[in-house]
Amino acid sequence: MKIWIWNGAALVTIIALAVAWPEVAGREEPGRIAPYRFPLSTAVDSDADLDFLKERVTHAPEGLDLAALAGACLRKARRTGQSRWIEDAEDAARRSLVALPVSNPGATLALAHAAQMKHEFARSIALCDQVLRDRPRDARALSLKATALLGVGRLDDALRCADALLDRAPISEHLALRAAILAARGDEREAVHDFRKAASLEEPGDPEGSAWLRAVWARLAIRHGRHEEAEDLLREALRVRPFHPLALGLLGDLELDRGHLDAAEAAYASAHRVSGDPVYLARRAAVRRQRGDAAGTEEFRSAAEKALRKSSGHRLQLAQVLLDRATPEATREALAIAEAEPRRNAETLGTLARALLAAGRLQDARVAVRDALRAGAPDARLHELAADIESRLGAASRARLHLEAAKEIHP
Amino acid sequence: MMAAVLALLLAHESTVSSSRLELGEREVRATFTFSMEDLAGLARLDLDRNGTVEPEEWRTVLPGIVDYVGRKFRIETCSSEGDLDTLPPALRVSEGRAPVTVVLRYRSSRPLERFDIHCSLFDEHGGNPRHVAELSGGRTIVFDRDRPEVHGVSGSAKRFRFGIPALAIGTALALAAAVGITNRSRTPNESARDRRRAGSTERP
Repeated sequence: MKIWIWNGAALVTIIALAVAWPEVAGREEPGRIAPYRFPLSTAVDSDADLDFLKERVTHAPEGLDLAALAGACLRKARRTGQSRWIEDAEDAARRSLVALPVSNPGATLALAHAAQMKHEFARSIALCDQVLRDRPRDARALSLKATALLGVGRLDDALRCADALLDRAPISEHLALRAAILAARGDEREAVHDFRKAASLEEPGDPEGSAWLRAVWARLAIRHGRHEEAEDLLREALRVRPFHPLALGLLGDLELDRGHLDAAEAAYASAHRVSGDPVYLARRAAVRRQRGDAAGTEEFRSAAEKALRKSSGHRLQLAQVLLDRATPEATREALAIAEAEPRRNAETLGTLARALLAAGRLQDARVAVRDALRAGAPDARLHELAADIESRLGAASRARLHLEAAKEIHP
Repeated sequence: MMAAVLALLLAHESTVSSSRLELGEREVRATFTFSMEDLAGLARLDLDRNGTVEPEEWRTVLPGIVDYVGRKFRIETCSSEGDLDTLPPALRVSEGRAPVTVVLRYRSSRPLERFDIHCSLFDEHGGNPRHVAELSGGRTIVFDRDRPEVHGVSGSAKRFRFGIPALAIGTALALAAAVGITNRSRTPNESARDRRRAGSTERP
């Protein structure tokens, strides 16, 4: 009898501890799908290396020190999101190449990285190739090139690059990069495999990268309407790195998909505040439109349009905002932008299809949307667009086919 | 290496702030949200250099920040003062993106019917700093370098000044009308019964 009492008491204590521990410890509970296994970072980000290198190059502007300074400026840009650090990095890298024109891959790759931050992907690829000619297995060059290829939508080339990178060093960061490329191609099973493996091989010390891994994984779940999975991954990303812009933006997408307009707008507002990315102004306009707030929609849309016009790397997003405006002038401009876009991925082709549809060029819109559907991962919105185009062309059965496909992708 | 992948997200200026303006008859309560990074550019926050800005440190640095905000975000005809009782919590300096809330009160000597707002917050920074102000009436205004001021913002004073007397007069008229209708709708017999109940001896 006594043993039963003791066992019962022990069981109650264990359950109480399991329930109350996160509260007692003052921490949020880790996620279920990809829990971060390390203590959350409390280290103070320091500018000590940047200050040291600045002082060093002031006294003696050596090529390698200038390349290191460029790298430190890029880290600062990454941490703060301020583009002036990208300009400083480019300046230091150029000075480095003047001082040391040969055997200086660090400076060239700093320029490639800076170009990527400014969405100048073609220049970034050319600079990476320059380094890869002399050092074909350079991991940083391969990683930057794979990312730039992903940016321009050359997914097969990006995958080849990522494979080479993983053959060289099968570490978490490289697996996460390949997973992102596989997800963009629509190879979901392989992408999830790489995401899982990347999470299992994760090491402490890169909370930004750990948050990014979970955010990109969550994007895949949102695309298929798996809300709980996406929420778990995004909450974990934000636990590891609070105020992570991509995770906040995707949280907004998730809440918008669920129809939680207040939560969606709050997440987009936070994402905008921490990143300064005008795309989130356009997303807030979309939320206001769903609310039926015409004045709020116009305010955010105008602000987004103005900001996107000033930002060289956001021509496609500008075209999307102009298409939302739906005036003949805006449609003409959006079409011109979409047709001039050198990238040919699902997003650019989908925008082109929307612009052609708005301009009344239905046959061309059909071709563009079919190309978009072939170019990337299965996308419910693209199928809905295709259904719209087909129904306007009088092809009702094809329209139904696309609507069913959209429902299958995102139930 | 992961920095390379993150690069896709970064070509922006980070100076974005926001505010929520609650409009009263002669006062606007403005709750501003800034990032730690932006405030760190205005004043040295971590006075003891222990990596955390404690409430006591906020108490010391906040008057300077409030002064800056009051100069850079102005509501015409209003004087501003900081609500120094509302201190931000302890925050780590390393968390540059953490939001910090600062409350200001703008007071006017006359009712705020229509007013102008001027905003040039962080215009000494490079790029194009943006401020998103949300008014309690539902209006949103996005300020930037090209749009540093907005004229003729509707306040709540007009509504209060004419709304309350109008409501009172309306209620009185409705009551009077209701009483009149009730009296008119009574038959002579009902009126006589009422008078008898009241003890009247007069015959109709």
